[in-house]
Amino acid sequence: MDSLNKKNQQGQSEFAFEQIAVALLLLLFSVQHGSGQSVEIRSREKAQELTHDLRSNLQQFSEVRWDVHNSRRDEGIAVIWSIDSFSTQSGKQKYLADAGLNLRILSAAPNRAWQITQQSDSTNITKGDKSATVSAVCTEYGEATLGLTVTFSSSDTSVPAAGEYRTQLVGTITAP
Amino acid sequence: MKLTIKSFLKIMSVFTIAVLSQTASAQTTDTQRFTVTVPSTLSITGPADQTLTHDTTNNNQVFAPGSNTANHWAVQCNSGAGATVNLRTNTPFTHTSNSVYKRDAKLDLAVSSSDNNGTSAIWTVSTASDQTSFAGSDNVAAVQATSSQPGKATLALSVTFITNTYSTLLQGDYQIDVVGTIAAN
Repeated sequence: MDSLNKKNQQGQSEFAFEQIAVALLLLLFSVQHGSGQSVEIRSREKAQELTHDLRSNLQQFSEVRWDVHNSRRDEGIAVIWSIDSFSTQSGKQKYLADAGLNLRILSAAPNRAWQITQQSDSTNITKGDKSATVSAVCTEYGEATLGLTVTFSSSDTSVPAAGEYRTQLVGTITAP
Repeated sequence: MKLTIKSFLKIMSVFTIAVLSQTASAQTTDTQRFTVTVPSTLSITGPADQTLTHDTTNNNQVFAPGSNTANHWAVQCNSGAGATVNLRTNTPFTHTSNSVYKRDAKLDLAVSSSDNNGTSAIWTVSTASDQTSFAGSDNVAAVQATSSQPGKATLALSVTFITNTYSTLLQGDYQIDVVGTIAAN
């Protein structure tokens, strides 16, 4: 009788473990195919540098590539890149210069899924606008490489102060 | 029972690795830094040499810069504290072959164009006029312009040959050299 009870208990435990294992596998499947962890954005190049030629107010960086991946089959994503004005500090004095952004699709799969929603923008320090944003959307499962061109623009009425002007481009995926 | 727990732990391990690897590949933001190096610049460029023929009167003779900024001094500085420009002659007008004959030189400076900071011109004249007085052993005339922040400008320098009495002038050429210097503040 005791051995029968033991067998029953062992059988119930095995059944419970099996159920938990199945539940976990189902959860893993839903994570892979649901709205969890299946989007990715990466800048392909490293930090960018250029030296001002002091001849033109507008200085342009080489185009940089960003890779975006959306493996969520039934849901789209929006990708937003934002950049603040360039700034440098000289003693107590802080100098600013406008930053410009231009976005284009270099390659996309599938093509129909990707669309630029804001192609270009620039900061406007004199009007208090110190952030520029461009954006794209992907309406379904897909991946793309997008090209971003950053510009540095100093005032028309002044030579930019000497120094190292820095800013950071931030790319962010947002999903519904 | 032992075997079942082992199996369960195996499944748990596989699940954990799978979830962790999935989490590691997900990235919803990335950043990239952009740096522009603006090099220091400090320059002054004078106009071409100027000549005039005396009008044979007792009137002073003026080398007027006119409105063409090609005949002005071009200055530029991007130091945060700006710069100071000096335009100076160390001699009065002196006859090129007989230095006994001299006439005083007068310098007048104006800012003909300047970058501005949105409210005012970056460059201003700090010493607008000066002249030599060789009779008083003052052989130097100097004018000055300054800025207190980065910017470029053109400076109109007017140079005057003070004739006094034309009839006592030895014929020939009288010269001065105006030297322009710029230094960051």
